[in-house]
This record gives sequence, structure tokens and C-alpha cells, in this order.
Amino acid sequence: MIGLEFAFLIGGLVVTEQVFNLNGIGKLFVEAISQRDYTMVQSLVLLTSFVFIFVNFLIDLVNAFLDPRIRYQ
Amino acid sequence: MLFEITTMQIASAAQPRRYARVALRFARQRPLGAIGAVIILVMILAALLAGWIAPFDPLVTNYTTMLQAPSSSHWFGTDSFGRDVFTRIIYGSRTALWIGFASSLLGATLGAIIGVTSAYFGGKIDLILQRFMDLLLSFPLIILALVVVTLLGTGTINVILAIMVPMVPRCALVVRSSALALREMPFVEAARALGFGPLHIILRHMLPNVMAPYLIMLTAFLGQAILLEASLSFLGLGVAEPQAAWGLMLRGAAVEFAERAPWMAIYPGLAISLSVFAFNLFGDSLRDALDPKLRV
Repeated sequence: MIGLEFAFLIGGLVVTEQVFNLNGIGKLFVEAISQRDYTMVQSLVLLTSFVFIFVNFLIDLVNAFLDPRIRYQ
Repeated sequence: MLFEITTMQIASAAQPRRYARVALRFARQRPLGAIGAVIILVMILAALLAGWIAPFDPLVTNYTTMLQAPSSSHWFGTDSFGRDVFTRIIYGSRTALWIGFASSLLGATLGAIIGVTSAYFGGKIDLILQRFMDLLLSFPLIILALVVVTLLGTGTINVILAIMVPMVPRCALVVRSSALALREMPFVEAARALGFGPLHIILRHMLPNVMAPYLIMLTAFLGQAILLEASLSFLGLGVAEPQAAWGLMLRGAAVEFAERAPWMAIYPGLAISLSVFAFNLFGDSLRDALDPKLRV
């Protein structure tokens, strides 16, 4: 569940940073899109999906650690 | 067997009297879902009859009535261009529903076709399609929508496509899992033994039997699609300005005048929450009614 929540959080980040005028990845993302800065968009997409996949991987590890019935080949 | 029963229910619902009876039973058993359905119906009516209901023109600016508080002539007040907020919310429901329905219909249908195809053929085709869907699933929803907007640019059609793309793999996953069980059913085997081609079997025998998960995913998507449309418009990457859209109304001047004219932001925000809430309520009840075992 934390993995799914995390994806939602990253999505929320983009909007929230715009609302409160914070400087972060979300704002960088929106500015890069409006300026058609494709390299920046590419790297940001890569970064966010890497973080997302990495967190999911960590959660899988923690799951296996907490619940010995779960085994991954 | 469960799928066949639900499709029979849907098919029999085509007759108007039975349809009314099914709707009545749904309302009695699931009052929350019925409330959601009523809100959705009101929204659809408002969107269709926007030209007759709305007291003002959503696009004409009038500087003599700038930033007025809610009153008897302007129910929800006016914005910084003197446009009536109530009118713009009604016209905004047209934008939201059009984008919501179009994108989730396209996304869910494409996802269902991909899911059933992948389940029917199995083997290598299944593997390739599923890996491609996994690829799309590895991006958070809004990030993927933003990427599509970056590639295509803003505008109503592009927003529909942008919301559709993240929906496809999610629907494909769910539909595939129920189609996998379906593939082993005797009637599919019988169709194959009769010499029907894969296209006929997929379209005539498999797709009608995955209607239950398909409808559930569709209603679940609708609320998300409206929310996504609002956030894209809010970021300035969705619908363009003169057009009335809820997300757009929260942006720009609404932030500037948040203290002097809070009604500019409050009412569109309420409209977004209410519609998403209604679609979620309706979707949840529909899921429970059609297929209690399926959890999305």
C-alpha cells in the first residue's frame, strides 16, 4: 500500500508545489514543460520513475522481511 | 459463471421497464451509490442544458461587475474579469464531463481490448504486451499525463489523450486477469472448435463477458479523469484560458484575489470535489453490485 501511496504523493507534489509556490521537482517539471525544455523533462521523468520503482523494490524487501511466508524467486 | 450472470443482467437491462426495476433495486440497496448517481445526473443535465440554465455568458467580460460578492443576480459572485462564477461552473461541467467521459471511455476500451487480446493469445504476445503495460505502469499517473502534454501540447483533444494514456494499462491489467479465467471456459473452446477466428472469438465471446470489470474500471476512471483534468488545467497545461474549466478557475487571478474574493476559488473547488466524490460513490456501489469479489 505504501508503494501506491507513494506514487500518489509524487503526483500530488506537482500540484502542491505550484499552490504554495515552493521550489522543488514539481515546479521544475511544470516550468520545463511550459518552456519546452525536453531534456529537462526527460531527466525528471527518469528521476521520478526511478524513485518510484526503487521505493516499490524497498517495500518488496521489507515485506519479505516482515512476513516470512512471502518468498520471491 | 459470475460473469455470464452479470452480462445477462446488463443485456436484459436494455428493455426500459426492466431497466427501471434494476435502477430502483440499485437505489434501494445502495443509497450512497444512488446519491452519487443523482449528482452525476444533475451534472450531465447542467452540462447539456448549459445554454439555457446559465444566467450569463461565460466568455463576455464586464468590467463594471468586477469581483462582486455573491448576490441575488450573481449567485456565486463574479471573477476579476466580471464574468459570473456560477455560469462558468455550469459551462465548466461541460468541459469536465466531456474530457472525463471521452478519456475514460477511450482508455478503458483500449485497455479492455489489449487485456483480452493478451489473455486470449497468451505466450509471447501476452509477454510483450504485458511488459509494455508494466512499462507504462512504472510512471506515476500525473507524470505520464504531463509527459503526453509535453509531447502533444495543450488543448482539449490533447488533454483527453494525456488522461487516456495512463488509464490504458490499469484497465488492461484488470481485464486480462478476468479474461484469463474466461479463456479456459467451455464456450470459448466450443467457439474455437467451430472454427471461428481469434477476432470473432475476442469480439463476440470474450469482450461481452468482461463487461463487469470493464464498467467498474470505467466508473472508477471517471472521477480520476476529472481530477486529473482539473490539475492539468490548474497547472496551465490543460484547457486554454477563455474556455470555462474548473481547474482553470482556481488558477491565476483566483490565487491573487484569494483574500478579497474567496468565492472565485471556493465554488470551482467545491464543484471539483463534489463531482469526484459522486463518481467515486457511484463507482464503488456499482463495483459491489456487479462483482463483489473484484477489488480494484
